[in-house]
Amino acid sequence: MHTEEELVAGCRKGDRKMQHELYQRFADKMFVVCLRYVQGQLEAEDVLQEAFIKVFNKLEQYRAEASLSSWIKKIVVNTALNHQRGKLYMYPMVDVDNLHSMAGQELTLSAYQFQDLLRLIQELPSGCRVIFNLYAIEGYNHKEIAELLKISEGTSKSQFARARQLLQSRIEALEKNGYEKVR
Amino acid sequence: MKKLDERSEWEKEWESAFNGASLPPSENVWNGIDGALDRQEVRKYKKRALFYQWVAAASVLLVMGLGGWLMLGELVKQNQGQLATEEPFIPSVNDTGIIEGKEIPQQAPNEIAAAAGSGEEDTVLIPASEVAVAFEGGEISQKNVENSASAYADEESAVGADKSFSTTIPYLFNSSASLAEAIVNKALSTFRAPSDRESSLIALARGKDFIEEGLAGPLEVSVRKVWVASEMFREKEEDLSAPRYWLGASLASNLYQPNFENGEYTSFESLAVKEAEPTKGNQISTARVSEWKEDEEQQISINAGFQAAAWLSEKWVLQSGLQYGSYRSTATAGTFVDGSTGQAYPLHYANFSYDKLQKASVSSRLAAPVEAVNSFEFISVPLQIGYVVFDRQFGLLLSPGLSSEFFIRNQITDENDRLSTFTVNAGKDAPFNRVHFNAIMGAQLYYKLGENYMISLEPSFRQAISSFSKSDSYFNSRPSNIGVAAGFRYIIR
Repeated sequence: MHTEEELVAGCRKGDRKMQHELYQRFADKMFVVCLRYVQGQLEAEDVLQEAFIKVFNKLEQYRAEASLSSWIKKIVVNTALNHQRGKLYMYPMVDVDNLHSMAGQELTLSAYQFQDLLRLIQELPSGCRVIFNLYAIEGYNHKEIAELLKISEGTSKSQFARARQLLQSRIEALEKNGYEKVR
Repeated sequence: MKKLDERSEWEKEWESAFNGASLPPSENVWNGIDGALDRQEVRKYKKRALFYQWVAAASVLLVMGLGGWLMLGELVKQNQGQLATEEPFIPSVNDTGIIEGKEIPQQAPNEIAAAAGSGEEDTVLIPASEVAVAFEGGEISQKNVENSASAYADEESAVGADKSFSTTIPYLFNSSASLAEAIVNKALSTFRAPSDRESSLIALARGKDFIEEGLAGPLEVSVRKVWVASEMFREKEEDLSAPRYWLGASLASNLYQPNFENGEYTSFESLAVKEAEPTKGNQISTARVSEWKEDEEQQISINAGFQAAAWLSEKWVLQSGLQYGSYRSTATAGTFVDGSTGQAYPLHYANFSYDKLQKASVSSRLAAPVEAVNSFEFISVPLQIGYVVFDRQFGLLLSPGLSSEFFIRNQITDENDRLSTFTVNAGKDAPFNRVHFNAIMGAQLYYKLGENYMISLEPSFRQAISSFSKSDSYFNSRPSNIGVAAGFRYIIR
């Protein structure tokens, strides 16, 4: 088992074994990231494959200021966004002034496995899904999301609000239907 | 009202729900990465190889130019040197009308100078009139030598008949080694006359009464040498002017460009504009026509074949041959699904038709662009006229010509192996003509390995002068091809 520095040095030299080891170390987590952004396993695998090729090609640019995992994740997210570019379907605008009515009782998620939550995210319209991931999970703010996706800040906010509304209602529906919370 | 810019606990719960979440992807992902990295390495190697090829070709051209310039310069110098050594053959005439022999000039070539010696002590005075007879226009003709020799053999002159004839005609024959004799010796050594050959030539000369039986001593030796040298030179000239042949094989590396353009009745630009129009629902065209010319790239292609040539004269060569070429180029392409088989294929110029324009969901793999490889196979029959710029140990030949290109097959493949390969075979259904013609501009730098072999380096450029695509195709194509071949030849005399 090599350290991250050794892996990076080996991958920079084009050592295929090191590249495979680096892939094995991060692929599983990055695959979940891909699944959050695109619909379907095949498409997620395409994104993952393309992202790791970029990782190996851009490893010369990696600086140790950020962790290797967060650097790879950034590449994966950008690849997923590029994959979606031109395909993002934005849900019709909602009135953001009425958002307070959407707050309601927020359900806890600790009772759910990530695979279930993943399925819920994948059911979102593509625009809502991407913005939800960027805001709620990656931690971007709406201004950054607007710059990234070339949309307005208002659009980012409204799409996120809609995503939140849809997810809330789906979780409520699950609970109503006696969904087993496995923990 | 909660501001949407402040992340709430809800968002943080979602974040923590996915902390450490992992799912293993299928093995296909690493296989795809592995394959892509291999292809990148091969491309880097090919680019480096192509770079070195072009450096080699440029170096060859530079060497050819330099070699040609140096050799031409040497030829000029040699000619000047010969002129310089020939001038002193003309003896000066003093006030009494008597010719004085000249000393060997200092600019003479080394071997002549070494062989010649100073000659001063052996110089003998002879009447100018006799010089004029024997020395005809600066050339030493064996007839005139013979006439002068026989004239002096009979007469009592200042030198006397008992003196050796080498002293009677100093500018021709010198007892130590005259300039002329040295030149004759040099000519003989150049032509490497074996002794039995020399004997047979002398016999021939005697048979034709070119050399009298009565000649003896150094005069006979010198006359014989002149005769043999002139015969050898004549044979060499005949040998040089006789047609020669060579057979050879070559292997070339090329860059091929099919040069696809709109056909007469099809506008791919207008199709591209239509593709860009918003559609109902989340559907886009799978054809991706607007991207077909993006990233169009020539790829390393190969060409191998046999050649034959006949030397029509010293300077002109007629060449032909038979070659097999497999040429590749890459481009961004679209996709179509064959309704009857369900197979998905790359869609590009060669297999385009309007019924293949399909739409798919934006998130479908069919809507994604395809990195397509177009490969074309031909049998080529070139016919070239070569002009020999120079022919020494190295030689340079310029060879323009024409070639007939017989189309065999075109295959469109997906570089990422996601789609099936589409094959277009030559025939009435193909959008390509079975035969089209190329203009060729080529050069050959060759190096002789002994008398019967040579190796060559041949850069060439080919441009289609007739259309590769049929007149009723959706597109036009007039390919171009630039490459360098390495060849090996066997010379038949």
